[in-house]
Order: sequence, then structure tokens, then C-alpha cells
Amino acid sequence: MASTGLSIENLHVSYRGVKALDGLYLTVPAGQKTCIVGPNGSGKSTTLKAALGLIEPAHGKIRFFGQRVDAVRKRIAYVPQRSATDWDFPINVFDTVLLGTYPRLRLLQRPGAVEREIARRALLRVDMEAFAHRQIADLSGGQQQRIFIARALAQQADILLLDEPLMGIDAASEANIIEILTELCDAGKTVVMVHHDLSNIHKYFDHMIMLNQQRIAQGPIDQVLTADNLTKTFGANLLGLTE
Amino acid sequence: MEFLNDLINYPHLARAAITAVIIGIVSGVVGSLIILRGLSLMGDAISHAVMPGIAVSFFFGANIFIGALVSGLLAAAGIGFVAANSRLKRDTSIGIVFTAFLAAGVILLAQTESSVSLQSILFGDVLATLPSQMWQSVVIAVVILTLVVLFYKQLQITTMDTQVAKAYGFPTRTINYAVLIGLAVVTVSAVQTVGVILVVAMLVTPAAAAFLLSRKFSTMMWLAALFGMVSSIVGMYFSYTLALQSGPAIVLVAFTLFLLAFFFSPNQGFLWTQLQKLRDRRRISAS
Repeated sequence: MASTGLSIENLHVSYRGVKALDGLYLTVPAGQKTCIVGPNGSGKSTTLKAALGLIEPAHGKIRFFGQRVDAVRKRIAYVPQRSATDWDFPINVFDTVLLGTYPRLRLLQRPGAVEREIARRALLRVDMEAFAHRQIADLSGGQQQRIFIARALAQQADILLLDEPLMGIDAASEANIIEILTELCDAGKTVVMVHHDLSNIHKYFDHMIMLNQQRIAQGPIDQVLTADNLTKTFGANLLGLTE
Repeated sequence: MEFLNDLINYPHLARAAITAVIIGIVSGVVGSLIILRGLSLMGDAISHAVMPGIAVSFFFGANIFIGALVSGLLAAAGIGFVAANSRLKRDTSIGIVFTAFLAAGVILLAQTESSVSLQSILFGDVLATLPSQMWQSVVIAVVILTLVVLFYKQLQITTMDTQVAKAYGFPTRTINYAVLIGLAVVTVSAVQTVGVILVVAMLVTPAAAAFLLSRKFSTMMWLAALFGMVSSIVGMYFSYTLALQSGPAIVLVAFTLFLLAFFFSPNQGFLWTQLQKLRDRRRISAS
């Protein structure tokens, strides 16, 4: 019996009176790579943000590993969309990765040798050690995303929530990121990713959630990625699948 | 040097110089937070909004600092309220609220038999600094600088990436309010040295010059403190020896430092990037 990494029950979110999520139920199996897909404005990013308490839902029950989010924050890593960060902030690549160790530090504690070693290894893992002393403003999109992944690695979390990390990045960065996420799952970690490219879902993920304000379907890719479900989610059979 | 001699011989001059230097330092540090968080206009608004508080304090014989602070914070809250509860953008909301406070302040001040002129509130009068005001600046600076050092980690991550800081469980809302209160406190104390109209320059200009020269948040704050300090002391010097108004003199020194950083900053300075463009053009046309 597989355990559950994240479960959401009856989640309702509105922005200024406009419904973004309307009674969403979903479960993310622990130790697997799950993608969340749906058209623009279907509430994919909103689902991640509401799960983390970054936005206040009107209603809903959210559990990570069966617990409330505030009880397990240290076990959750979040990789936001790149546009949410101030890339002109005066900080270099290494110190950005080091931020990932902050949740483990006590109130007034500064990162020390242990944390620096964790950050160094995370940077090595994304093949960015040569960039350690570069300013983050000088990185390409793919490099920025790898730094985000390294920061999430430095957190040593049990579940990773990623918001479209593969959007607009180069093929090498994409391959590097998928390889790392696969390794994390092999080591028992849980990965949830908002994703937009339907063509590589079979290759990259184990489990899939289709949503459009509500859950349309969830389960193993083979069972869920069907012509019927695509039409229900996107209003069209985008992959031209036949039954 | 005559200026140094007079500093030693005239206590009021020494008081003014010490106050200006302390406020220069703390404005630089808080200003670094302000410009990275996009709150420059908010600093301007708070400084103008202290006027009704000053007038009301005179009227009731209350502490001017507290009156000014309450008034500045009320304006900040009003700006936040209007922006959050309408489709108006934040800068519009700032423009509406602070001008209303300023207008009310001018009218109220005219009704009081205050010993302080509108002129000195608008442009500052550092030479009139009382011993109590100097000590007040010292206490404010010590408290704020201590808090910044202790909570550097929290300030760094919430300024750079609020969403991630929130996901990590940092109390982003509390830190936001703390920064705004710090901004208001520093603004109100800097009104004494440079006046309502020029306060924003003390917050923004040294910090902006430091930003152009820094690759690290902590370096930026150190440099901004240094620039704020240098502006104050050099500005006081010119003000004293050339008989210029102190506030404008301090601000113009800060501006000069900014221009130097803008043109000559290694790698990102204006001159350097222009030179680089020229070289690239030559290389392309030569090949």
C-alpha cells in the first residue's frame, strides 16, 4: 500500500470573486513523480500555492504526509516560477543555494560549515559549481532554474513542489533536472510538478493529475492520458490520441 | 583645520555633526532594504505625512517625535488600505494619501503658535539639534542596527524572494511591518537633519550608489552606511565653511557620490558599458 505525500480535499480558491479552484480533490502518492497538467488559468500554480499556504483558500483540507503544512514545512521544498524572484538582488549563486538551508537554522543562527558543505554538494549536483561566485543576474534561464533546483536540494526535503521548472529552458538543463528528480524519487522522495508539455509525460513521470478548476482525472499515466480525459481537460484532444 | 577646531569648541556644532552622521549611517542601512523592496516612494510619502503629526504635537505640547511617527504610520496604513481595497495601483494611492497629509499639515501648522518654522520642517535645521534629539538618534540607530544584524538572514530572504520565504515558514507579514515601522522611525529622525522634502534622498541615494557597487546584500548595507556617513560629514563641512543650508548640502554630496558610482562602477558603470560597446563595435567592423 503506497503512502500519500500530499492530499487535498474540497479546495476552493477565488481571486477577487473569480473562482480559480472549485472543489478540488487530489492525492499525490509518496515516492513518485507526479505531474499536474491543465490549460492556462486552470488553477495549477494556485493548487501549489494554496497547498503551501502562500494564498488563503476559501475552504479546503490540505495534508502533507497526513499532517498540516505548518507542522512539516521543513520537509517541503518549493520551486516557484522564475518570474517570482528578484533577479537583480545582490547575491551570488552559492549564497542563493545556501538559502535552502535556512529552514533548518534556529532563529538567530547563521549558516555554518555544515550548511556550506550541503550547498556545495547541491551546486555540484546541478553541474553549476563553476558558477558559484557569479551574480544570479548574469545567469541564463536554464541556469537560474538549476540554481532553484540546487536550493531545493540543499533543503533536503521529503517532498518537492515545482511550478513549471521546465518552461523556456535549454535541453541540457531539462535533462539535468529530470535526472535529479528521478534520483530523488528512487531515494524515496516525492515530486509534484506543474507541467505544460504533454509530449514527454510518459518519459518523465509516473503519475498524473489533470485539472481544470476541479480534478478531471488522476492516476498512473497509462490509465489517465486518454483522448477522453484530454478533451475534458483542454476542450480538445491535443495529442490526437485514439481509443 | 578650522572646521575641526570649531567642532571641538562649539557643542551645538558637534551635536549637529554627530546627529547627521548617525542618521546618515542608519538611513543608508534602512535605505538598502527600502530600495530592494521597492519602497522608495513609500519613504517619500511617510516623510511628507509627518507634518500633521508635528503640528498636532505642538498644539497639545506632546512629544514631536511620537506625533510625527504616528502620523507617518497612519499614512502608510492608509496607503496600504486604499491600494488593497481598490483597483488603484500603489503609486497612485501613495500620491493621493501623502499629499492630503501634507496639505493638512501645512494648514494645521499655520494654526499653532509653534516655535518651529515651516521652513525648518521642510528643509531641516541640523544646527538646532537639541541634546535630547541627538541621544534619541543614537538610541534609534543602535536599536535598528542591532535588529538588522540579528535578523539579517530573515531580511535577506524575505527581500529577495517573499514566496519562498513564506514557504520556508518565515513570518513574512511581520517582517514587512517591521521594515515599514523601521522606515517610519528613521524617516522621522532624519527630518531633523535634512527636512521633510529631502529625507527620501538620504534613504535612497546612498543605498542606490551602494547597490551599483555591490555583489552582496551585506556589502551593500555597509557601503550605504559609509556613503550616508560621508555625505553627512562632508555636507556639514561645506554647509559650515560656505554658509550653505545643511540639508541641501548633505543631499548634494550624496548625489555626487551616486554620480561617481553611476559612471565609474566597475563592470556595470555607465562609462565602462559604453566603452565595452565601442570595443565590440570595432571588433565586429574589423572582422
